[in-house]
Order: sequence, then structure tokens, then C-alpha cells
Amino acid sequence: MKEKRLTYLTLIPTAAVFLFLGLYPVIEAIWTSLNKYNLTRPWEGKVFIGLANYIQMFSDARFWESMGRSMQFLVVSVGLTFILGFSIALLLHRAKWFKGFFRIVFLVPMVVAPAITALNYRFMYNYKLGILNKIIESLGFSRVDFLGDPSIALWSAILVDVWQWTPLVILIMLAGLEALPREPYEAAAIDGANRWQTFRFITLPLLNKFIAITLLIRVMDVMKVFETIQLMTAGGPGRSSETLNIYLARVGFNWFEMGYASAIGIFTLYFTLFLAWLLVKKMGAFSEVGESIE
Amino acid sequence: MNKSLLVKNLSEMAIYGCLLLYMIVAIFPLFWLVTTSFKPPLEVFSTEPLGLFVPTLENYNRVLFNDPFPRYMLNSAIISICTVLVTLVIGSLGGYAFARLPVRNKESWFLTILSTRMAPPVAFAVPLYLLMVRFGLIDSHAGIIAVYIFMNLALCVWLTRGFFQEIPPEVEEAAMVDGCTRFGSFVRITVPLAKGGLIATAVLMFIITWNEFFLASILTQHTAKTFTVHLTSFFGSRRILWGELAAASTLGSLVPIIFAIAMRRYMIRGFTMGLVKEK
Repeated sequence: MKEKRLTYLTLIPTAAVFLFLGLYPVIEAIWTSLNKYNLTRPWEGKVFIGLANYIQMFSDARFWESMGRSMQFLVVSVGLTFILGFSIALLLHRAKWFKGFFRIVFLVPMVVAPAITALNYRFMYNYKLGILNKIIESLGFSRVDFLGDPSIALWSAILVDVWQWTPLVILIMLAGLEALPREPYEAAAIDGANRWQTFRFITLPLLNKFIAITLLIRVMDVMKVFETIQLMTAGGPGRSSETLNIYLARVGFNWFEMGYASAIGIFTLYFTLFLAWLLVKKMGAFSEVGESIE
Repeated sequence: MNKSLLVKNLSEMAIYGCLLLYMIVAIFPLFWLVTTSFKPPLEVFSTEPLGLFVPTLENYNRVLFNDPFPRYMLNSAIISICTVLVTLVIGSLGGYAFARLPVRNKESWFLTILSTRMAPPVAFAVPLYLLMVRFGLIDSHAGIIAVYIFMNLALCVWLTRGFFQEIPPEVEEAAMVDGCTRFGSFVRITVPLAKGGLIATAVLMFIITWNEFFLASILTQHTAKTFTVHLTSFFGSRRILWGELAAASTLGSLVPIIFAIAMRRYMIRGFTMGLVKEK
């Protein structure tokens, strides 16, 4: 009885914050998304228009294009960070010295503010004077207009994201490699398995949980990417690097179309949750994630 | 015998070669940032290696004494510290409940909490903005702190829960036999034992809050503006003050980097919501 009361008392503050700053805004956003509501024309107020914002969204070419770029960003960035990060983790696992040192160095890119990283890359990406182009030129290639060329800008942003988050993948996978049991490898050696077979049939399956966690965390983080694009290209040139988040911020805070922005926001929210759910379910990671609950 | 030793040495050298190459790529942008911050304003784009330009503190001098930057850095510090303290109190109570007390539907709670960690802040921005407008909290410390508390709470509950679970319940039970209440034993026994984990959680939340840009850029203007938002003001209408920007960025990166290195044992655990524990 007393325990029950303590449960409530300890959970009430958390629940209050979630209700007031989590649930309430979502409900407010759902309601706003059913209205026409432009803050630059406050005299019009909120006008209920039913699902018109959602209908507009699904027929909005610009929305679908930004969605496509977000998906491109997602697939390329998650894929590259995973392959690169896993490879380096395998190397680092075999290294004998300086492991602790590498670990510390790899922490740095992910704890520097994304805003600082974005502005710093903007400086290095500079077409005429940036250090990257100077390196490229000194190697005998022609300069790359990283942020000014519509066919390259999004890739430049992806590259920054890869730079920033590969270390996280390295450190997660390294934790996984270090937790591997010895026995299966001894058994495989006795059975005469070669290196590839050992990797494919022992290491990979044993790392399942860590792979699932890595992908889950990476997908969540990529869906949040904002500064990296906003502060380097602001979605440009033209709209060539405008992802879903950038478009959403533009509708909401440049045009102040709160109704339409809410509709896109609700869509983005549930789409992200759906992606995570899919990952958790399909990868069988749920039992693993669930295990760590209890 | 000799040959296999040679192969072994070669492969070892290859491993270190790759690692070294990657390390240079990982660290170069920050090296360049710091270098730029010490260059004279007219030479920010010069590629002359270190030592060939005369390092100057001019950029730091301007940023610290001829710019409101220190004020916004102080804002960032105040907002981050308040956020961390409040979140830690609320979140560790919640974490304790999940670790020790009977909570119904733990799994659905987990998914709810995970979902707030997953949701892009941009998706929450519109309703949060409208909420802050309604309560007159735009550009106020209280407003942005409230939003940051919400942003960090899920992480805090989840991490502290893990740290509390690592303490054997018997310790608390012993205290209760000696006449402590359940809550009393939590405050006097469990919290001090979990001190390391709680500090790590606080540091991680501090880094996240300190680094935040998007929500601060829409919810603050002058009074509560944070340093990350202020960085964009070095983009003047006529020219970009790259030197000053680099100096301000270097100063703004110091705290998170030092904190992360000090708490390196816990960083991966924090970044993965406690799903991965390092030794």
C-alpha cells in the first residue's frame, strides 16, 4: 500500500512534465493542423478547415521532394557511418596499443555542438579559399563547389553527418566486440573455419544486438538533423538540400503557416516513430531492447 | 617462423596506418578551427602551416571584450545548469520508481519515453512555440529551461534507472530494517551510492543542453539567447567574421570536450540511452 503511494509520488513530477510539455503540445498540434492559422495575419485567427492541410501536404510536390531528400540522407548516412564505423571498430579491436587514446579522440566529434560543426565545415567547404579545396587542388584535382552546386550540396551535408557520427558507431561496435565470448572462436578454430566463415557465422550473429542498437540510434539521430543543413546551405542552393525538417521549419517560422506546419510536424513525428517501430520489430531487436528494460 | 612474424608485423602496421588516417580525418576539422582562431583577421583563409603565421589573440580579444558573446555564454551556462539540476531531481525520482517500485505497463512507458527521445525537435517546435507565446514565455529563461527539461527528461529517467538497478536492493532493505523509511533509504543510501552515475547523467545532459541550437533559435531573441544562436551573428551583412567565429566556437567547444573526456567511461552508455554499457 505504502509502496504504491511512493510509486505515484515519485512518478508524478515526470508524468507532469510529459503531460504538459509532451502530450499537450502534440494534442495542440493535431488541433492546429485542422485549422488555417497564419501568425502574420493574427486578425484572421484560427479557421477550422478539417483535413485540408493534410490534403494540401499530400499534393505538395515540395513536401515530397524534401521527404525524398530526407530518405536519401537517411539511407546514405546510416549506411556509410555503419560500414565505416564497424570496419574501424574491427581494426581498433585488433590494435594492442593506444586503444584508450583513440577512444578519447573519437569522443570529440560527437560532443562538439552541431551548430559549431556546421559553421566550421561551411568555412572549410568555401569554394575559393576553403582548406578542403586547397587540399584538393594541391593533389591536382579541380575545385569542388561543395555548398554552391545544387547536385553536391546535400552530399556535402551528409558528409558532415558521417564525420560527426561515425565515432559513435565505432564505440558502440567496439563495446560489442569486447563483450564477445571466447568459446565459439576456439570451437571454430578446432573445426578449421577460415577467417571469413568465423566472421560471418560467429561474430556477426553474436553482434546482432549491437547492430540493431546502432541502427536504431542512428536512424533517430538522422531524422533530427537540422543545424548541419540550416547553417551551411539553409536548404539551398535553390531547394537542392531542403530536407523534411528544413521545409517544416520554413513553413512554420519563415511563413508562419502554423496550421500547415503542424500537419507536416505531426506527419514527421509519426513517420519517425513508425521507422523506429519498424526497426525494433523487424530486426527482432525488441526482445533485446526489452531485455534491458527488466 | 620469421616469415609469419613479418606478416604479423605488416598487418599490425596496416591496422595502425588505417587508424591513424581515420584519426587525422576525425580530428582535422577541430584542429583547423582552433588554428583559424589564432590567425590575424586578414589571414583567416591562409593555408600556411602553423608557425608561419604569427599567432594572435586578436580574435579572442574581440570576442571576449568587444562583443556580447560572454553574456550569451553566461546565458547558456545558466540555462544549462538550471535545466540539469531540475531534470536530475525529477528524473532520478522517476528512474528510482522504474528501478525499484511496482509500475504497471513498464513496456509501454518505455516506448513512450523512447518516442520523446526519437521525435525530431522540429516536429515539436510549432506547438511549443505557440505554448510559449500563450504564456508570454518567449525569450525568457523560464520558457527555454522548461522546454529543455522536457527534452532531457526521458534520457535522465532511463539512465538513472540503470544506475539504481546496479545497486543491490539488500543495501536499502538493511537501512529500512534499521528504521529508515523507503524514501529515506533512497535519499540517504541509494543516491550516495549511485553518485558516479548521477554525475555522469548530469554531465551528459549539460552537454546536450549547452549544444542545442534549433529550439533556442526560435524560442529566444535577446534576453535568453544562448551562445550557439549568437554564433550566427558573426555573419555580417557585408562580410563574415570567420576569425571571431572560430574563436567563439573554440571557446564554446571547450566545456563539452573537457566534460566528455572526464566522463568518458559513461559517454557511450549515455548516447545509446543506456542500451550499451562499456566496461
